[in-house]
Amino acid sequence: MTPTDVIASEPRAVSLGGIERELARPWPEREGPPAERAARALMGNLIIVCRHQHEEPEIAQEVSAIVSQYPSRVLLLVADAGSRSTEMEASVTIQRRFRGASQHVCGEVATIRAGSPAAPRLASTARAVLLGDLPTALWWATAEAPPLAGDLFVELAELTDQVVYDSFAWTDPLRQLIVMANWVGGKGSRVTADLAWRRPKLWRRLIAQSLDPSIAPGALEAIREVHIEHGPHALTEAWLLTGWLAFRLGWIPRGGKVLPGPEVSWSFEWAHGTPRVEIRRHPEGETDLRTIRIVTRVNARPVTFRFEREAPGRVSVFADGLADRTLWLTGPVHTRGQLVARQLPDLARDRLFESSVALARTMAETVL
Amino acid sequence: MDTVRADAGTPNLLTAGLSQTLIPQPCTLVIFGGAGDLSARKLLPAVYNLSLDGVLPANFAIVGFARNELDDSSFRAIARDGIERFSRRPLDETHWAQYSHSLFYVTGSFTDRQAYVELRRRLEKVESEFGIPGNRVFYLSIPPSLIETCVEQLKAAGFVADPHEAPISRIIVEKPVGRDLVSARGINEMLARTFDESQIFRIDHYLGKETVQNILVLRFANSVLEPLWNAKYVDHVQLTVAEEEGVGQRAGYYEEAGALRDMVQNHILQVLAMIAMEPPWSLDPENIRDAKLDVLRCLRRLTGSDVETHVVRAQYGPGYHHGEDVPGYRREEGVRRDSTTETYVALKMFIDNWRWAGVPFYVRTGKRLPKRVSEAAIYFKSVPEILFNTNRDAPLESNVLTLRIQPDEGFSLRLSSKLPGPKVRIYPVKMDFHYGATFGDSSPEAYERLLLDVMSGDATLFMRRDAVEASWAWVTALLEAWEASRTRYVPEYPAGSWGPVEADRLIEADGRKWRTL
Repeated sequence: MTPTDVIASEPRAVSLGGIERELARPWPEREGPPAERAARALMGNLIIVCRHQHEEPEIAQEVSAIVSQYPSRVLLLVADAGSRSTEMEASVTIQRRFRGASQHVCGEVATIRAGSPAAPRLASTARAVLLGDLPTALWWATAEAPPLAGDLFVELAELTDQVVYDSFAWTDPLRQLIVMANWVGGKGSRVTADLAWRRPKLWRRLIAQSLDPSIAPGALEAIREVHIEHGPHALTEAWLLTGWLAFRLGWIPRGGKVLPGPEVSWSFEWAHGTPRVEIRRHPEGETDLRTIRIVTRVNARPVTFRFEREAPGRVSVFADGLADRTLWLTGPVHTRGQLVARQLPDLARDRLFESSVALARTMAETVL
Repeated sequence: MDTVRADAGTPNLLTAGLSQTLIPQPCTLVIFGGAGDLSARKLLPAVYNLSLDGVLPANFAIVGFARNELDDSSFRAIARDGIERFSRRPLDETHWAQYSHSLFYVTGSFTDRQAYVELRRRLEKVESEFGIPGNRVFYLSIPPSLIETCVEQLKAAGFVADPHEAPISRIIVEKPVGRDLVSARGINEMLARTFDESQIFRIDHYLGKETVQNILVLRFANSVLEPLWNAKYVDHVQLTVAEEEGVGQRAGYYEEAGALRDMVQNHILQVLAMIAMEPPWSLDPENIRDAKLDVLRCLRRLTGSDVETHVVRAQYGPGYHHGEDVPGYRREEGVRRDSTTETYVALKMFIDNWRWAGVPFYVRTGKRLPKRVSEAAIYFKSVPEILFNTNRDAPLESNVLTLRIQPDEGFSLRLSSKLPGPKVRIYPVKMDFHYGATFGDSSPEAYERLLLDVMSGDATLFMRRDAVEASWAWVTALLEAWEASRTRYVPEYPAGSWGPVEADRLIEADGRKWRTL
């Protein structure tokens, strides 16, 4: 299923009080003759927040990708921090998906735009339009840690079962990571997902497989060095991956420092030694993880696992000192919208993510 | 089934907690009959899709093994052709370029000991190259008559590892496991001489379908249903597995099998068991399989006069299929002209336990029916004949929960509702849930799920020995009753119809009728 299967109707301007009425209007009346009526089946509500008007067109495109996989009622709230307008305006579109001769309404999208003075009223608007008895998620589609938005985030988060954000391209990622980690570990938190955690899933899987005791006995215990290289904006991906590794293996951060140049390093401690991790940023090129080198020993022989991004969705591994052949793992390549769509059905807390974020916060604190 | 599973051995600290539910072991999948039809149509495309999804281990390879004189390159061509024609997702050239290098082929006769020596040599080379720690899954995609030979050869060649230690050896056996209780026991006994039960995966692809898996979720994740799921509230249950096709190219097999063996003994009894089972106390595979076994053991045997009143078998005669003339079963190529093999069977079954006492389970399955459809329908008891249900000429329709297994997977619930207007007129309305409409993602093929389960060591969706034998025990009693009756008369139904009039009488005698599908 690709977004191209989804066709959106022309946006129709409505009053704020008329959103529900417009969305609930009977389909025959809206869509013409009975033969063209569409069945309606939605999995949930999705509130999307962006804080700058220029973000809206891209997000509007991504909505098609989301509703094609996760049919939903979508409230796109454009809380334009650059606008002083006190007015709010709304429009509605319907997205339909075609399968053979049948068509289904997979997206009921209401877009509400507000300048910063009117932004505090957005939550009340959302409250009136959400469908009951369905899960509600909040996708914070602006490059900032959601709690930094203050009351707007707090009020919207209260309406939701899940908060999705993307730490990719955060400015001052260390401080924002600490803010976010505090919220994730706090009392009022919800199911939380960071797309920067989902993206390197293939890397985590391949690392876990390659260092499995059945393949590389003792490799996990003997890790001495980890070197991670990443492209622009992917620091938090590398950071969270280190948090995961350290959490799973029980490494305790003992110190960290930001080195001259785009590098960060930490030393850890655990029962089997004092492993060291270095993260290095490439200033240009692909915005993904590039390579991870894990220096360890297998059966008392020094072995270096080199994981490498070969192409989007393809990671290879070569175990220098252990194998003759490069192996690889491939996975689907998802756009940001598709990543959101895949996250939304996960209604349970991801404890592994939460623990990794908590450890990543400790790591951040050691270098600040 | 939302737990992370791992096999015996040193635990992998990095694996626990990954969102992937099933964690397959690094392994080699050895397909006996690797150049055959099932392999090309189902197995190789299924593994390809798993690879595309990134759920297979990097340390993974496939080795095809069969008599056909092929090499790696021609086996890869077969795989490519199968993927292009039958995969649910199109072939991705970039992915294929690397994926194809994990496919290998060994030519050899299943009866030739030397062939197994060559197979071992090749496996060790592949395992060394891919860093696979000796874990092997053997898929026997071969005629039943060859299973024993292959298993004995595997044992003789030292392919079977200790079930409690690494590396793992697992074997997948296709249905049918036997053709009656005695032969099923024989096959199981033979398998047990070589493999531990925990290493044997008896596959029935029906159980890999999303809707079949959803039966347990629907029942045990919804508090509104389970209190009604018993004889107090359920009037009867109807199970239908209808096929459009005739016997086609399978006459040789089908003549010896018939609808009872081909469909009822495995697919239908497994689905029935999932519908009727008690709640297992955990999602552990053995607990679920125990609960299903209990149902099979409670099935009332159909013997003596019960067979006359509770069973109808029939054959399709000539008729129309989508407007085209089609021959009757006995005119199909490869079918004996005096064949009494049933292509249709309708059954009235009872489960003699507390929960289902007195509730009939009506089952029908056949070939050359008007359309392909598999479903289970739970008919709830009608409301009392008071208030809105006082008109005996037009009693209210009862509530029906229908689980559609194929096509258009989903479920629906029929309720009564007031028609708009000043009068009180009651009309049945259907609340429908379609997987395809509500969930945007396409469902994986049954074989994808099942192969992943085997690699992960999860036997929940596979038939355990005792369950196979319990279902054969029930079926064999019926087969023996048919045999004893020595009847040469098998009613016919026109191809393209919903079965013989005798099947209508079977259910109508109880004041009920078959569903319109």
